[in-house]
Amino acid sequence: MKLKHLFLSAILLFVVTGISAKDIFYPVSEIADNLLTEANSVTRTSETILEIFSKTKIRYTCKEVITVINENGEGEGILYIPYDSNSEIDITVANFYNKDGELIKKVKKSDVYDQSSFDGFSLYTDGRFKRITPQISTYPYTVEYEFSIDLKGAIDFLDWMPCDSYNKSVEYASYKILDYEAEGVRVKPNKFAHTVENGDLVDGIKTYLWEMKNMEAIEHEPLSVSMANFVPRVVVAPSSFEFYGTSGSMTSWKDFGDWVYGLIADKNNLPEERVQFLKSLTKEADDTAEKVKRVYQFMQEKTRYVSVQLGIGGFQPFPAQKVDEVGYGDCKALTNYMKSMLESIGIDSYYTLVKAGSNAGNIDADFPSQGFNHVILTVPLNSDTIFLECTNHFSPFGFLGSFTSDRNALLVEKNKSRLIRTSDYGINDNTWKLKASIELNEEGNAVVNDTVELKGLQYEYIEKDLLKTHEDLIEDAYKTSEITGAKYKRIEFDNRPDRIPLATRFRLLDIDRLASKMGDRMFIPVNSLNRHSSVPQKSKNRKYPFKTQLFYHDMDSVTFLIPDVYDVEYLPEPVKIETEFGVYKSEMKYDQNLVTYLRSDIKNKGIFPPEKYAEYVQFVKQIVDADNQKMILRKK
Amino acid sequence: MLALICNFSIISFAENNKVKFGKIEQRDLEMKVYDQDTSASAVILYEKGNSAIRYVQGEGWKLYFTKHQRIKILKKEGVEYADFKIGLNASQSSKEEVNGLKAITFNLEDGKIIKDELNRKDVHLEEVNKFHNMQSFSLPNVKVGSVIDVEYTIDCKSFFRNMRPWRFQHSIPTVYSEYEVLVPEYFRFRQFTLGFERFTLAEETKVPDKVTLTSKMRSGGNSMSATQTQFNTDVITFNSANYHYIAENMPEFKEEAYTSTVDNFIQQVQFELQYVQFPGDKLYTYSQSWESINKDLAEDDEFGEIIFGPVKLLEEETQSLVAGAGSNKEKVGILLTHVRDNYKFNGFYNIYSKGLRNVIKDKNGNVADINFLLAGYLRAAGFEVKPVVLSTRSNGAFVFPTVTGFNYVVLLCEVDGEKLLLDAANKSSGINELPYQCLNSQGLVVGGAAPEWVELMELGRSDANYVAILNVNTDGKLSGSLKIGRKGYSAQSFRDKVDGFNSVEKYIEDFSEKKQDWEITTHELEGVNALDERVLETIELSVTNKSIFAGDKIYVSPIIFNALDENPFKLMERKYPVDFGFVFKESEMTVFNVPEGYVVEEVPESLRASLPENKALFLFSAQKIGDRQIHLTATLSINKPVLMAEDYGNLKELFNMIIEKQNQQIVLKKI
Repeated sequence: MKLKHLFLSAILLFVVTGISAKDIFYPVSEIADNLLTEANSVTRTSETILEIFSKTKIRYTCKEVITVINENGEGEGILYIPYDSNSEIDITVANFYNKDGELIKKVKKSDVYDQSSFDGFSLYTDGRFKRITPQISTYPYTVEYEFSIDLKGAIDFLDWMPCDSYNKSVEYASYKILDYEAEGVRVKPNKFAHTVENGDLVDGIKTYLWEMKNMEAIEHEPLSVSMANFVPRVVVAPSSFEFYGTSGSMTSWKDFGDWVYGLIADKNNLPEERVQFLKSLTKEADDTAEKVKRVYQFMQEKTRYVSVQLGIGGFQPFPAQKVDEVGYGDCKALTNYMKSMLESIGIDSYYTLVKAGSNAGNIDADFPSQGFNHVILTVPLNSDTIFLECTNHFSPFGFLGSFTSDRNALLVEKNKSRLIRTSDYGINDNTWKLKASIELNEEGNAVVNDTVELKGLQYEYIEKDLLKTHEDLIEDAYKTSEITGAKYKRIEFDNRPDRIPLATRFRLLDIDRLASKMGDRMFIPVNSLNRHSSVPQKSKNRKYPFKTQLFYHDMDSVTFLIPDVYDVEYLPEPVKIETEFGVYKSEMKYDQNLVTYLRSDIKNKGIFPPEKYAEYVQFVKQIVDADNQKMILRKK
Repeated sequence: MLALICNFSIISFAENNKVKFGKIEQRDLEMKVYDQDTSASAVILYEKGNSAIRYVQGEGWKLYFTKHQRIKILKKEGVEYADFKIGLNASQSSKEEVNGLKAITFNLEDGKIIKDELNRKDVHLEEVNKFHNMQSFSLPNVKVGSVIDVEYTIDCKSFFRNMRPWRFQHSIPTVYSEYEVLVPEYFRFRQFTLGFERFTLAEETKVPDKVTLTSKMRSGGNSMSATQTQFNTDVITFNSANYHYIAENMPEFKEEAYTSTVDNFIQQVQFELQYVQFPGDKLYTYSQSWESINKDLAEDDEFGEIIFGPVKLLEEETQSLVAGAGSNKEKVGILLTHVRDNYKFNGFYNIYSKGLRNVIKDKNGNVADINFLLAGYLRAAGFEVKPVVLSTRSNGAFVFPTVTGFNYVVLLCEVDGEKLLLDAANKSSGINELPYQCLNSQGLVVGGAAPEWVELMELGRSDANYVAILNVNTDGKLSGSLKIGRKGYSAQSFRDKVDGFNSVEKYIEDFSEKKQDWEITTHELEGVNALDERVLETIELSVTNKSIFAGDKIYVSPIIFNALDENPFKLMERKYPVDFGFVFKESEMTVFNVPEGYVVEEVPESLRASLPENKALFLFSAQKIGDRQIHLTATLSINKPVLMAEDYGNLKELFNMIIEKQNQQIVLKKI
C-alpha cells in the first residue's frame, strides 16, 4: 500500500517537472526569418553519431528536432526506421511540442507502429519498419526523436545530406563518426560540406565531424538535377566489413567485387541433364553469339521473375540448381543461372551489378561503395560485349533499354572485378519514322493509313504492345487515344528484336470529323499523329541547373488528299528552330489536291545552366505551337 | 439443338463435381488458347471454395475455409498467376492459419505429364501488422502451357464475422467457379450477390447435421480408491443452411473510366453475420434489418452513446465560440470551422469513435471522432443533430442491411427548418458540401424512431462559369479580362488545389508558370476561405495561340478558356453506368471586340445537342452584334449524376460535337 503510494507521487512529481516553464523546448519564435521563407519544415537540430566499435558492432545514435511549419511539411515530422534481423532499434525519446515549445504528447513504446516492409511487389521480404506519425492539426508544431540503431555489421554506412528535400530549412545539423578501429571508414565530402574534424585522433579515436548551420529552404524547380548536386553531402563507406557472417573489403572495386564473387562462386552447379540439354541446344549454332542467344531464349522461356529478398541482406542469389528446379528467381538468381548455363557450355560471362532505373543516380567511380540495386550479365565476345537483362522475359537479346543502359556497373570476375560502362545508344539509334496518308472527304471525315518505325529506346514505347492480340490492341488504342473521333480498323506490328531493336507499326483508322466544317471552310489540324502537347512549367529566378533526359529523332511525313471541291485557303508557314536543346523543322506544301506535311524533331540530352531555362521553355513552346496549327480549306 | 445445349451443360456440371486435386485432364495441358477469349494470358479452369462452421471437440465452433483453384497459363504474361498471397486475419488472442497447402505444377513434356510439387521450404509467412498476416508462395517450373493446381484450408478459428466473400470473376477469364457455405442454424448470415453477369446456380438449402459431444467424468483418485473415468456421449442434431453458387464462363473483368468502384460490378457473393444463438443461451445480434441497425447503432457505446451522450464538457467553450454569431446558420458555420481547424483527421474512415474526451485529448481522430465532436458542439449550442452513416464511392454499394457496409459518417443538423449536411473531417467541405467520396447512393440517418434515408447523389452540384471580354488585336493576341466563378464541387476541388500551396500568392505564381499561352497582368481570388460562397477569380490577361493571321483574314477559336483537350469517352461501348458523382454545369461567355479595319465574315453556327430528358445538354451560340462585336455562349450541363450504359453512345457523340465546335473558327476579314 505504501509502496504504491510512493510510486504514484513519484509519477506526479515527474509530470509536474515535465511541464514546468523552464522546459520550453525549441519554440517557433526562435527561428530566424530567413529560415522560415518557403519552409514547410525546419530542422532545428539533427545530430547523428556513428560509432564503429568493430566490424561487427556498429551503432548510430540520432537526435532529431524538427518543426513542422504547415501541412505540406507533415512528412518531415514522421519517424520511419526500416530494420531487419541484422539491426536493433531503440527509440528512447519521441515527444511532440506546440509552437510555444510546450510538451503536448509523449509517445509510448507500445504506440510505435511496426510492420513488415511489405511492398506489394516482393513475394517475401524479411525487412520491417517502425513508424511514428504525429497526428496534430495545429501548425506549427515540433517533434523530438532520439533513437539508436545497433548493427551486427554493415556493408554500407549512412550518407549525410541533412537538406534532403525541398522546402526544408536547417538550423543545425551534424554528423560525427567515431572510428575505434582507426581504418574502419572512408569518407567523401562534396565541396559544399563543412568539415570540422577530418579523421583526427581524439583520445585515440579517429574522429570525423561535419556541421551545417542556417541553411535556407530550397524550392523545387522543374526538370531539376538531383539535389545531391548542390547541397552539402558526405558519402561514407566501410574500408572492410563483416556482414551476415561474411567478410570483405570496399577499398577498391576489385575488393568489393571479390566479396560479391564469394557469394556466387559455388552457386553454379547444374544438373547433368540440363548441361546435356544445353550442349545439344547449342551444338549447331554458328558462333558464340548465336549460342548465347539460344541459351538466353531458353532462359526467358523457362523462368519467371519473382522477387524474394533473402540471404546475406538480400545480396546472395539462390543457387542455379534451385532456379533450374523451380523455374523462378530474382535478378540475382536468374543472372547467376544464366551465367552458370553459359559456363556449362564453355562460355565465360560475368555477374554485373548496376544501379537500375531510367532516372537512377550515378555510381561514383572514384569512391567504391554499395549503391547498386540490380544485376545483369555481361558476355564479352571477340568483337564486342553483350549485356543481358535476365528478369525480362520478352526483352530482345542484348537490349538493355533505359533501365540499365549508359551507366557505371561493377563486373564481377575472380580477382579481376572492375567498373565498366554499359552500352549506350546514340540519337540515331532512337528514331521514329512516320509515313502517313490522310484521305479527307467532303464531310470532313478522314481515312488514315500510317506506318511508323520505332527504334532503340523508342522501341520501349510499344514493347508491351508486341505481346497483345489484335483485339486488345484495338481496345487499348481506344482507351488511350488522343485523337477524337478515331475508329481503329487495323493495328499490326512487325518486330525485329535486335540489340538495337526495331518495330514497325501499321495502322488503318478512320477519323470522324478530323476537319471541322463551317460554312464553306474546313479547319484541319496539321499534326494529329505525333503531336507535342505539354510545355514544362516556367520558373522565374531559377537557381539550379536542369536536365533534359529524352533524346531522339522523330521524322514525320504525312500526305493529305483533299476533296476536289476544296482549295487550300491557308497553310501554316514553315517552322525552323535550332537550339542546343534540339532542332525542329516543319514544312507544308501543296500541289492541286495533295498537301504534304514534313516534320523533323531532334531532342538532345544534357545538363544546362539555370539561365538557359527560359530559352528551353520557349523552345518547347514553339514546338507545341507549331504542332497545334491548323490548315484551312475553302470550297472552290 | 436446344436439347443438345442443355445436355452439354449438364455434362460439364457433372464433370466439375468430380474435379479432384492433382488429377488433371490431358486436354487442359494440350490447350493452347482459350477460345472464348483468345487474348487471355491465363484462364481459371476451375475453382471451388467452401466455408463451413463446424464443431470441434475440445475447441468449440470454428470456421474453416477451403479453396481449390486450377489455372492454365496461356502466355508468358500469365505466369504471374502462379504467385500466391493469402491474407490472414489476426487478433491479439488468435490468428488464422493455413493448413494442408498443396500445390502442383503440371507440364507436358514430349507428350508426358511432368509434375512439380511446391516445397514447404518455399512457403513464407509474414507478419504484416497486428491484424494481418500474409502467407505467400510461388509455384515451381511454371511456363507457358502449365496447369497449376492449388488447394488449401484456412483454419479461421472463431473469426465468424470475417466469413470470406467469393469473387466469381477475375482479371483473367474463369471457366467454372463454385462457392459453398455451410452454416449451422445457431449462426445466421445474410448473403448478397453483386455483378453484371449471371449465376448458373444460386440456391439455399437446409441440410440435417449433427455433432457428437464426448465428455469425461472422473471420480475417486484418493488414497482409498483408484481413479474412475466415465465417458458420456451426446448427439445433438440440428439443421444447417447450405448456400451454393456456381458461375460458368465468366469473362475477364475490365475496368472502365467514370465508375465508382470495381467492387460494385464484379460478380461476387458476400456474407454478413447477423446473429448467433445457441439453445438456452441469449441472442447475440450483429445486425439484421435497417430498423435493428438504426437501434443498435443508436445504443452502441462507440456510436450512439457518444453522439447522443452528455456534452457538458463542451458547453462553456461552445457559448464563447458562438457568442458573436447573428443567425443560427452562422453558429453552425463557426462550430464547423472550429472543429475542422483544430482537430486533425487522421485519414481513417470509420463509423465508430474513441469518445469525445479522447478526441479532445489527442486533438485528432477518424471520421467518426471528428464528426461526433462536431455533433457535441452543435448539441451544446442547442441544435438537433443526427449521424448519417454511408458507404464511400471506393467502398462500393450496399445491397442488404449490413452495418459493416458503412464506412463513413457525417451529420444531419436541422436549423430553422432547413436540413444541413456537415462533415468536419474534410477540410474543403462547406455546409451541404460533402466530399466527393461520399456521393454514393443513400445515407442512413440514425437515431430516429425509424430509419430514414437521405439521397446523397442529388446533393452534389458543380458550377463553373467563365465570363470574358476580349479584344482581338492585330498583333495576334486576344487581350482583356476574365472572371471565373465556381460553386459546389468545382469550388471544392479548386480550394483543395489552392490548399496544396502554402499561400494564395504561391498558387497564383504557379498558375501563371503553368499557363503557357496566357500572359497574366493581374490575378485575384475571392472566397477561397469562405466555404459556402462562390470562388471568384478575376484575371487581366492576353492570350496567344487562339487566333491565326493569314493574309487579309483573322481566324479566332470560339472557346478560349475551358476547351476540352480530347473526348474523355474513348471506348466504342460500355457495360457499366457512367458515374459522374454529381450534376454539373460549365459555361463560357465571351464578348469578342473586332479590331478596327476588320469585319465579321463568318461565325460558327448555333447548336443545341441533348440526350433524352435533357440528361446531358450542350448549347452553343455565336452571334454577330453589329459589326464590332461577337457574343459567344457555350454551356455543357450534365443533369443526372449517373447515366446508364444505354446512354453511352449518345454521350460520346455529344462530346464529339463539342470538340468539333471548338475547332471551328470565327473569321474576320480586312476591309
